[in-house]
Amino acid sequence: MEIMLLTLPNSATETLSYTKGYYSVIGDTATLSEAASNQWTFTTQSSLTYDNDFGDHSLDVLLLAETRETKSHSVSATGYGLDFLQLDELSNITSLTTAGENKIPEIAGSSGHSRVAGFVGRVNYNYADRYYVEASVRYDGSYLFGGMNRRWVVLPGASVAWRINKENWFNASWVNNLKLRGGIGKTATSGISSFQWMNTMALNQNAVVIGGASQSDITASVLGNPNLTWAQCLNYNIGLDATLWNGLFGMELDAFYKYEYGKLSTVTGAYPPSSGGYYFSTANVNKVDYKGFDLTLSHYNTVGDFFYSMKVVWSYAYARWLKYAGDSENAPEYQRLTGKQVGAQRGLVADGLFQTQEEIDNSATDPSRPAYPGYIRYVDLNGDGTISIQQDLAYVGRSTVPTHTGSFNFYASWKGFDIDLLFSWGLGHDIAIQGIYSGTEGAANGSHGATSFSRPFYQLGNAPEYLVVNSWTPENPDAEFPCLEITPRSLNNGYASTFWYRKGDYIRLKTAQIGYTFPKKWMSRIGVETLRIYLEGYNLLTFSALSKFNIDPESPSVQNGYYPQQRTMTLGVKLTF
Amino acid sequence: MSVLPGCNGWLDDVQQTSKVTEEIVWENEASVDSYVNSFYVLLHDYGQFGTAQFQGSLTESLTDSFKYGSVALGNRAGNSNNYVTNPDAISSDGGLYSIWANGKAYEDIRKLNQFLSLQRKYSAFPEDRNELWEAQVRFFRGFVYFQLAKRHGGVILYDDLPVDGGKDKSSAADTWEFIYQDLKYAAEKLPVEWDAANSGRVTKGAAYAMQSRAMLYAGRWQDAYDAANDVIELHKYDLVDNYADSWKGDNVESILQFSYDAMNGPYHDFDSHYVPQCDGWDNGGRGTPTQEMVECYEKADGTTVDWSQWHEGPTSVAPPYAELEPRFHATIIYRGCTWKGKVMDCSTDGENGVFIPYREQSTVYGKTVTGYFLRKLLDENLTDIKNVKSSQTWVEIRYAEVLLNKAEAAFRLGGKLSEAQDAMNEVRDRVGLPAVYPTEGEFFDRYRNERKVELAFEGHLFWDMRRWRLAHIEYNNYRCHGMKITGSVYEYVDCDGADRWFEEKLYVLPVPSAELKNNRSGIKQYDEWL
Repeated sequence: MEIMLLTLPNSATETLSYTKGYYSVIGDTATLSEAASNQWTFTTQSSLTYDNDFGDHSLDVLLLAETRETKSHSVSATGYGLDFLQLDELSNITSLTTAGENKIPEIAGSSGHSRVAGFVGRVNYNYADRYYVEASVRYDGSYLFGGMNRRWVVLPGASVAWRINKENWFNASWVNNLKLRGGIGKTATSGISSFQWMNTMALNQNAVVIGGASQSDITASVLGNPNLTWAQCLNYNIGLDATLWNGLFGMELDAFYKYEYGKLSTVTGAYPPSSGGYYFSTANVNKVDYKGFDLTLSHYNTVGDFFYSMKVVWSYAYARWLKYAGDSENAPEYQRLTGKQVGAQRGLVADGLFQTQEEIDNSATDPSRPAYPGYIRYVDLNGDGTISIQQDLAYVGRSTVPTHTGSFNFYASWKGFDIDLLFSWGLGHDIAIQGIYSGTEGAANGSHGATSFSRPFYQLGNAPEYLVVNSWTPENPDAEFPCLEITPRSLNNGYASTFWYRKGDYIRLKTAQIGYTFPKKWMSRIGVETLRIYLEGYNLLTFSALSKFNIDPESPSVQNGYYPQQRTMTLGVKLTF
Repeated sequence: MSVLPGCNGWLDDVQQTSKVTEEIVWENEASVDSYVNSFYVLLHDYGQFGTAQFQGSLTESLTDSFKYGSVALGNRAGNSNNYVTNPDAISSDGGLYSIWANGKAYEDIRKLNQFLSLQRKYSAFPEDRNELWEAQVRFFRGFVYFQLAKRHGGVILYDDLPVDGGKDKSSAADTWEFIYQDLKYAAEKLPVEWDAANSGRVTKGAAYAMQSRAMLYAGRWQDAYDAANDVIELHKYDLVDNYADSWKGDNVESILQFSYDAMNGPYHDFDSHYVPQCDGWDNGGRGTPTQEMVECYEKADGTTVDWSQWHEGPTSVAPPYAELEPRFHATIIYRGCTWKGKVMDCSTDGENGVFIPYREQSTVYGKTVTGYFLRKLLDENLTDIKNVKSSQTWVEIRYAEVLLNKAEAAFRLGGKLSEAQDAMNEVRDRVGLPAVYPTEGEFFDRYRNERKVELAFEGHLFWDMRRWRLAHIEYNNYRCHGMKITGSVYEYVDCDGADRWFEEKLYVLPVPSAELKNNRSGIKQYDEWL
């Protein structure tokens, strides 16, 4: 039996930084800036543990409390004009520009503060290394959320395991390990910026001239959400581990289901513009679930001097929006994410290429991006007679992230020779050779990416031969690509659409290595411990429908100026004395 | 568990110090004044130096008076050329001069209502202080609703914070009444003049003047007439002697203005978009006045120029620019005038002001496609465009407009023709033009040219043409022109290269699709767009 009370020394870390810099802003006026900041972190952790064995019964108990606090401060000052550059002290600034005008020094400062606390209780019990039970509960609090009921979260968890091969009735000696596992637990996350729960105003300097002088103004900025709380997740998993015949067969299988709710998100899309931005910038709104499995199979064996091993790792995960708060109330189903895959890509639905002006005249087109023969024809999903991205853009593509990923590794050695191959694959995703830039920030987010497919030589890029050979001309009406124009008459083809989505499935030989290690007994004579020569290749073979466009299947979503992964070959000698 | 309340207090002790909380604002008057200050910025936003009306492009570019030289789409560039030749580009999914959905007008209205709501909640100041703040804020709410109403007619009306799920829109009549009431409250509570420390705030005169403008749009002629008279009867405003100073602010003609401070801010960048290249700046001249605008000016003696000899073909006869009335010289840079000390060429081979045919290059780089440059609203004293910000005051309402508003309202009311003539002649008299006495039947045409010329490039023409319902007649199936000057040859040239169109349904801009998608009140699109 063992009882331990442990209080880790309260640990504080502090970092200080100081910078000094010069740059010129107005003419040749010397400018001197100095900035100093400090960061302070203070954590405490106290725990009580109790371990005891009663015959076949074994019990571990843990109680733990931890706190974490951070503080930061920064100040900076910028002064203008120095009579003597070598006397670079802020006290020596003249506050005059070279042109002789007064320029007031600029000062700035800010601070930050955060506190979180957590309590953990956990009990582990096992009987004769056969039955395992674990129960735990966490109680976490964060300054990020306002109010007693919102600030704290209770996170229980429980898991059980059964080591079947340890049962007395189990007598198959070829089974080295057979274990069935299962668990359920709750976790929580808090990734938001601070003070989103309170209403705040912004102060802007020199905003208006009133009374003959510049004055500040104050504007309402954050509409605080007092209900803001932790995003929570329920996790369920079952698993089976097996090792048979001393490694001739090994397996680890995990199947999981995760249900995330109260996910923190911005909700702009779901409000009418007439609400004037009067909604919480962040709220616990979205729900997502994930299901999938992770499987590892292994096999290794030795036959005389010959050793080999094989290992397959296969993962599958599918994430689905159970509720997406950005869905518009009156939007058609094809524009809603709820029920669709997380990461589903948007685009218009393409219906081949226009062949004649007559077809165009009788079809829905976008008035702001007129179509010409050889341009992409789109489906008017809402049937209003025109194509517009606001009305006809739909979730048409799968996520850019593969649902299936895996690898196969083969290794063999024989009398100093060895070979090591690693294949990897990704299946079940779509790559847009021209799509919509996605992300959370930046001007490009949400915009349709023009690429060399719709605009040859775009941004000093190239126009590859396959594009030229296979583009639409009156003589080549069944072309794979629209008609090519260096200066397009209209940007009709630049929209993301099903025309540009391709299956991203790939398998590639990621690395391959062959080598030879010289026998030790030869080498020790010349004072060398090991000598190995090897040839290694990286990214050697790729099987993918995208290969014919020279597109890397692992490239980001919009194909525009992506620098592809390189193929490298290495010849190496490894010498150890 | 007794540790927890203590722990909770520990978490509570984290205080934010970087932002102002809404309660703190109401602890002293100066902070509330600062809060109100934020609404004055709307005068900049919706003015010619701001970007709210049309993303920075002047709405005159949607009329026959102003032309952006760029073919490439962009603000202060090809967008307006696209809209006039291809009006189908405006739809419920997008329209760059719609302000409903781009986070502008309704966000402004929400912030104004939020002020009033917080004022009711927190303000412990005396009633007269509260009224002065409320009057300013309601002035601006009327001002922003005016911007919406002139685009759509009836819109969604909020006199408090927005409601969950949204509201249905009101009729045009109710919308104009809402605006009328806000401006009426403002006019009743605001002082005729503020003390020196508060100069620049909205006044009684500004509220009445705004009302006279808004009521013309509403077609409520008596109210427009009365409001204009309310301004006149304050005897505080007058026309300045020199028209070239009339729009510059800080004078007896300025009724509502927004001032700038080039050094500290706020400032603007209007000059950098419109100055000719010879100002030492390559990115100006983006938009220039058209020949159509030039031909609206009378000669200084009140006679008109017969422009047909220039329309017929290239000629070496110079147009009689010098003989045109003073407002021409104050508004437009033309060949032979002096700008920043330089005599302007405005010709294909000129040094000061260069002509370039439309479409010859995608961006004009300080050249003109019409043979003219804008002078009005530019600051002739600003010589260092590159390093110094613009600080020309923006005058939202000046006395000349009130006189013209009165003239129009009096004419519409009927039986007040001489009052209408007098008000219009007062404006003409300032620039030395002889008085005119058009008949009831001739008055309107005379009046609208007077309004176009007097208020040129101050943001009125496009909206006036819409409310007069003349845009679909006059701005349909036509082209604008420029004067291409080569050496001493003057050639009347098409500066559009395509026909311009205006569809009647554009008199009412559509409800944005984002509103229709998310508003749960059952709101419907305007009939014009169904």
